[in-house]
Amino acid sequence: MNAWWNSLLSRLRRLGRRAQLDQDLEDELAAHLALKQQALQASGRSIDEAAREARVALGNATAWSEETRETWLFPWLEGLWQDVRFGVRVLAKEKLFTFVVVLTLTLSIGANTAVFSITNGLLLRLLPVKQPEQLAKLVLTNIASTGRYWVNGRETKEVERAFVSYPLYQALSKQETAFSEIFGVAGAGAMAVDANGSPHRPNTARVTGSYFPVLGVQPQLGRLLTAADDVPGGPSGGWPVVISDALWSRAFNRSPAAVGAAIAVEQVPFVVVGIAPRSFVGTTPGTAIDLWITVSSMEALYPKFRWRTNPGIGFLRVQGRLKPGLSPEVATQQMTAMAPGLLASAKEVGLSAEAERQFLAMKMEVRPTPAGDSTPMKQYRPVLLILLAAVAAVLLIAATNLTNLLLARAAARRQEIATRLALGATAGRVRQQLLIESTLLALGGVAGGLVLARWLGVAISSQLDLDIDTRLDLTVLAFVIALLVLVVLIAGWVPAWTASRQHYQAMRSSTGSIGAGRLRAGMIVLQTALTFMLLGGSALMLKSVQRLVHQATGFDAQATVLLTPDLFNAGISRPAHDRAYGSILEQARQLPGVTAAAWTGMAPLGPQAQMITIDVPGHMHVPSKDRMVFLHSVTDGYFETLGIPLLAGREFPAASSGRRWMCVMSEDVARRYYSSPTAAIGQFIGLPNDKEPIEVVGVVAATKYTNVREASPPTVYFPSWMNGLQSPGMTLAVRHAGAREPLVAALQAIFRKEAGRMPYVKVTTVEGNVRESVKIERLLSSLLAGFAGFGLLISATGIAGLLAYAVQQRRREIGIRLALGSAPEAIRWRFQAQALLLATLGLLCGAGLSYTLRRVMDSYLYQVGATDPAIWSTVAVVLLATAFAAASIPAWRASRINPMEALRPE
Amino acid sequence: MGFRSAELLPGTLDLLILHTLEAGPAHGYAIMEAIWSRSGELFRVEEGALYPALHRLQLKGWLESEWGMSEANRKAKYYQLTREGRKQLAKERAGWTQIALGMGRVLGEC
Repeated sequence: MNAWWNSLLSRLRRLGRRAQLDQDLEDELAAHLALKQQALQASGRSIDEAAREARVALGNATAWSEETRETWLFPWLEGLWQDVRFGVRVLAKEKLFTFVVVLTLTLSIGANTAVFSITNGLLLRLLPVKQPEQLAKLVLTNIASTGRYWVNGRETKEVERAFVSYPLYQALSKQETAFSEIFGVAGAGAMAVDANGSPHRPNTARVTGSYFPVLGVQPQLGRLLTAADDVPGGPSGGWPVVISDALWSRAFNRSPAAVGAAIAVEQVPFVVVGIAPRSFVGTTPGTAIDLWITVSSMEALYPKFRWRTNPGIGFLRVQGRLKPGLSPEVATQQMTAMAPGLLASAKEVGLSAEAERQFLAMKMEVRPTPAGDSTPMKQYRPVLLILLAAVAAVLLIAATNLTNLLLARAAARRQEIATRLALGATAGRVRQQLLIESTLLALGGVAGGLVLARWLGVAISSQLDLDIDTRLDLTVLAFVIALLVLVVLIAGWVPAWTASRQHYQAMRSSTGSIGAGRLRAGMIVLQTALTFMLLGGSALMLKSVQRLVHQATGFDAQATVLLTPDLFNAGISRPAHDRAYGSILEQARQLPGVTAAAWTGMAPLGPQAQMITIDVPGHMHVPSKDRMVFLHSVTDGYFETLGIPLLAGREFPAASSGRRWMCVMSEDVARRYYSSPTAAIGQFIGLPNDKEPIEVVGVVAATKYTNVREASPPTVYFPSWMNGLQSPGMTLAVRHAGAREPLVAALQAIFRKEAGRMPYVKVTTVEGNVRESVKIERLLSSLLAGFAGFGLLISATGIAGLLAYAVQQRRREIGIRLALGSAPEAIRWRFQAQALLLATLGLLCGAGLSYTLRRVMDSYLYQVGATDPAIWSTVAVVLLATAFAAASIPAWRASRINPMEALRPE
Repeated sequence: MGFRSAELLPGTLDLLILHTLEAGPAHGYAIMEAIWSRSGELFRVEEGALYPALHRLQLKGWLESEWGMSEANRKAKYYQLTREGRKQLAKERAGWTQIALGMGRVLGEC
């Protein structure tokens, strides 16, 4: 192997040093010429004559030095080409083999590429800005523990926050810090935009004036936002907005007249000043931005929001460029040292001594963000890691399967290879030939895999609601090439090596190499182990999803539809909302088939959540964060509409019959503070900053709030007419009998009539929201199930193939046994026992690996342990049964061998 | 008169070069001269055959080369046998002896 490898290396080296070699050859010829000339002169020629003669002797130097150069490369390339053509012919002849191999490689390479390209699009790809490697974000850590936080339905102790108040941002930008320049981005959300009279709901980023200058992005048309745009009251030309390339196409059909056009964002007039380059969609991977407006324009959008002066409102993600040569660690040290001073200059007034101490004790950390910074990045990182591990297992299964097939084929091709060796092919050449065949197969898999990955990548990212570019880029290409090399190395090398080595005994004996048989068995054990893990993982996820989807939510709402109309942007002013909501509710209740209807501030199990601390007389010693409750603001009829049982007291009265301050609480809040639901009725609670006592008029059964994983979220319902609780963007819940589509159409007609034109309406259901909240788990369960099925199929065919080969090899032995009176069942059992042994070994390895990895999926499991004995034993039984079944065909063949035929000499 | 390299049996040139270098490192011109004089001015290896052959042998790992100073104090590329090259020489020499013997017998000269 060494000689072959060395010669390959020296050729490749020569390829790279072509220019130097040319120079070398030229020098060599010049030296030759000089020596010859000298010799000729010595034998009596004149200088001129000697020079001429020497030159003539060289002949057509250009032609043969070209020939010399060719010897560096050409014969090898020619041989390579010959082998490639031969490989294609061989593979084209063995159609079934080629088809199976290319298909399995397509599946595994496709799955790997798809998952990797999502990982790349979300987590790895550098932002298309100037020197992205210098970018970093500022995070506040050690934050005051006055709030409660839920992530994916589980309460977590949040210790860091990425959001900074505007006063703190200004202190950071004015002072000399570890950053040379900074910018801030306020959450990216969908906003209603009216451009050219057509409505859009693009993702909008509110950015500080330094955003584009710091990122160094150049417009493709017009100009981008600058510091002069981000001033109180806005610049003289009106609130400026920059739109994305995509929105430019959608709303303006790429007309240059878009620059200077007036558009309305949430009913506020803006002027388009420029168009961002096509490659730039913001700094929040997972959410592509279509619209950039200044932070200052929030003055016009949310007139009551005191963001500019209130240090208690954290809403900006701060990023920037670190000073040249500063590592994130050093920057963190510097920022931590500066934190107390910075915080003191931007602290809330009126905090308690303890709260102020906690506020000032916050630390500042700097983390590099060359690929951007977004919630989806944080949310999906663990999912992607699980998926990457799973697809790596799939690749390993496919590659070892290919090894097995190639080993089997090498055994079958012993005669051919031995003949080639005998005819003078070197072992290296034979290896090269076999490696080229596996490379060709792998290339076929890559080609298919790229097509599959394109489709799968789009499917996965749309299931996860991610706006990411999963197209092939250099990183993905490098990954695919690495996969290719890996497959060729794993699958091609071993068979090629064993095949070229066994030529000594090849011609003489017809028995295969024992080493290769053991290797194949080892590969099958590995496949079974990986399949066992994938099967177990997918079974755990399936069970979790089933439990989650069928988890009692507290609602009886199969017959209820939820509609959220954007009445504000359809033309209903804020003060007119109250009347519009009332009128719509009246009309909705009149529709045929409607049994109940109500407005709610938030769709149940929707993405939003609101919490508030309640004051309960007699329980004021409880820390305020433990008195926090989830909040719902609803109209009369809500509990009936959503099918929430009333346990004590009554529902809210209709808005017209007196507007007293009152609330309804969930059962667990009532039991916590009062002895029973009934005892809670008639009691009073209070809200902070509000002295009015609030009477408890009813107690309802517990329901989930934003996520089905929640234990039972303490919830308090307020009537929507109560001060400060009513807002645009409420959801209409309608309980109905009969078909849904005509009802939704009728409701939309009501909205249109009320607003004067069709508003944007989001239509969901409680079950729909439940499914939406378990989308990660659903994706994991379906992908893992697919991968596990693939693994199971490969393991089964692997076992069947290995045993079929063994039966073939041991024909004579079996014939003798049968002739000596062995029962066919006994023969059958011998082979099936072998399959069970291999599967059991695989099971044990898989179980060991699974046990070490048992924590990995924890956060996605629900009401099922990672080591659930029922699930794992079922999986083990499935795997053993599959192995047994796979073995039965070759085992049956073995038991049917005719001793007379088997013992006849070949 | 004499044989030009194109008239030599295939593989003979390699053997001639390897054999010449067995005595020690030499540059291309010296190899050419040595073959010319030691064949009794029978074999003339042209530059157009010698240099491609030298590079081919080098690529096979039988020769290695380095720049050195010639007798006339001039820069020249010196070739020398590698261990592989020595083995190959022994093999080819044995092979050639067989051929020569066979040819001789067939042509009835011994």
